[in-house]
Amino acid sequence: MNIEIRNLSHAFGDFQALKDVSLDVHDGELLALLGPSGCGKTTLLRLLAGLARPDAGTIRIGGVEATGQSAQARQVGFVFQHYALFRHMSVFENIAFGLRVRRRNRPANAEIRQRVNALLELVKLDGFGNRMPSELSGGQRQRVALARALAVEPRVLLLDEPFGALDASVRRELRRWLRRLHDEINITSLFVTHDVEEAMEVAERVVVMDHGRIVQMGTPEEVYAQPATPFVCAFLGSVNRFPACPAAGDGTPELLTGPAACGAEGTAPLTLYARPHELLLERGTGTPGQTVPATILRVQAIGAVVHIELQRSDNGQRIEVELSRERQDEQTYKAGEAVHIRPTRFARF
Amino acid sequence: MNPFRPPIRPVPLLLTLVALLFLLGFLALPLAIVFAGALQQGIKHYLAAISDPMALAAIRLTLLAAAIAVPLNVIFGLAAAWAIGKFRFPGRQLLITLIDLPFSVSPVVSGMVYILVFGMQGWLGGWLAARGVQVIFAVPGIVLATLFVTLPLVARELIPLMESQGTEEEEAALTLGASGWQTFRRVTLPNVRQGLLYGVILCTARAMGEFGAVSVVSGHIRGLTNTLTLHVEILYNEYQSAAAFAVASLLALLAVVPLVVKAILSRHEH
Repeated sequence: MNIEIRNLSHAFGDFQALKDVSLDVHDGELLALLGPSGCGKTTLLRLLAGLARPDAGTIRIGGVEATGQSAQARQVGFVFQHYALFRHMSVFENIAFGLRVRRRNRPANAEIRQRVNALLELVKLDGFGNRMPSELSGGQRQRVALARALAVEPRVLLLDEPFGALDASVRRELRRWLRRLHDEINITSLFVTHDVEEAMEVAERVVVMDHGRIVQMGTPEEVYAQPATPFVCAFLGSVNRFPACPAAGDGTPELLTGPAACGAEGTAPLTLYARPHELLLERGTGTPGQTVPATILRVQAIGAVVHIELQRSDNGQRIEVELSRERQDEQTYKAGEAVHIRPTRFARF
Repeated sequence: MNPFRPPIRPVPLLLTLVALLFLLGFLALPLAIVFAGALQQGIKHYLAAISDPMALAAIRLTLLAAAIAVPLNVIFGLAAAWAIGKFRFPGRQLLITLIDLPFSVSPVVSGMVYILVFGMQGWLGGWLAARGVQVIFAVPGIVLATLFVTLPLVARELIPLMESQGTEEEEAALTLGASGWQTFRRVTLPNVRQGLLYGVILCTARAMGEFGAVSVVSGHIRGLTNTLTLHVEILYNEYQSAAAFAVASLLALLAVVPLVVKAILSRHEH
């Protein structure tokens, strides 16, 4: 089912958590809401589930007006960061809960058993039905929570930082599994995360939020390659900032060094954003306007990528550079060496 | 024998001994003396004291007051704890303070308050008396006084429990299609049943053992408005100490029964 969100706003007292947010989630899509904590992503998810009421705006799920519907009527699966399993019920009863509380077309016990067992198999927990939640690991609990949400055959699935409480290796494994599971059952899914890597790896489309607004949406590749704002650029990964002067026409901007200002007519300087792997190091004299002088502080050569930390000689700014292993083997940069940094690609704002 | 049993260390041993000695001196010993006193003139005398019509009437009234106060407190306690533990609303702190009030006010004072409101010279007493309803020096007054002093017991047990459990499980139940009532009955209530049970036991014991507030509103009419505690006092003041001890031992037993029930139930749990 698709979700149409129009002009949604929500405030907690004086704090405007969500400001005029509009978004279309396509049928069968796996979408990530990405942003720093406090950006409004969880609020948006709770509004979609009916766990909070918007101050303004509308929500339509599968073409049907849902704004005023209660959480109970909305048929939306919700997975919580801290699992929220019913602690006094077995795994089996947790998953069966949504079926047992049905007033209309409640399945017979035999059918419930069959469906719960099928779900246990789906989340790779066959044979765990009689365990209590407290006897499971975090990753297992989250899979039970997912099975419980899926048991009622929800129209859409909402996941609030589903892997946030798990340790790194389990998290990586579980998100791949979620990706495969989504390919298998194809339910429209939204998940909230502040972990860029997670959003990029799992989602088909990423929505970046900041201060209650959507700042950019697109495929992970698009968002990473063409960040819409300096915030998105900096949020998605480490980035180095270079003050520069706009060039005449469409030419490459000229990097500024030292206290120099832009041209005589007082053009405003701009900032170039370059990621660590978009920088090259050069020995020799450098090219004014295209390189900046710097001293290497540290070379960390572990794994396929070599991290080099530098300090600009003109303004003391720290710069991070990533080189391929091959290039480092060839050039053998060392701490203390004076070099020139050349941005090869950059975003400008 | 467990070969890995940890060695006995002096500090825990000392602390345990101090606690045990304290319990023995201030709890077990007085209780034993009550029972010894009760039986000092023989079992026959003991049975006579507790099967006296006045004693039986006192037992009936005590049980009645408890039977009314405890269910009402459970309902109130659950409602108040749910509101305070799961929601944020204006006046929440005030409500918490008000719930604690019966603990901080002396029971005698709360009894006096009821006299002030429902007594013949009180705000409502005359109006009620004109309609044939007597509260003070009658059973309703005793029930009201008992309710007042036991009010915080269930709520106090449940509030911290519900607060610590948060609202996520309830929210999960709602998104799974459960109604408000189903959520309460299947999720909230089972999660607090231990605390609720404990609250009920404390409430029962206190309802049956209340003296001060009840003493003020009762009027000590034998066979009519005498509860067990008041009956003990009367017997004692009349120098019938063996009978007083006999009734007191009965009261002590009544308080122990719920505790035993709880111990059995919670053993069953695990």
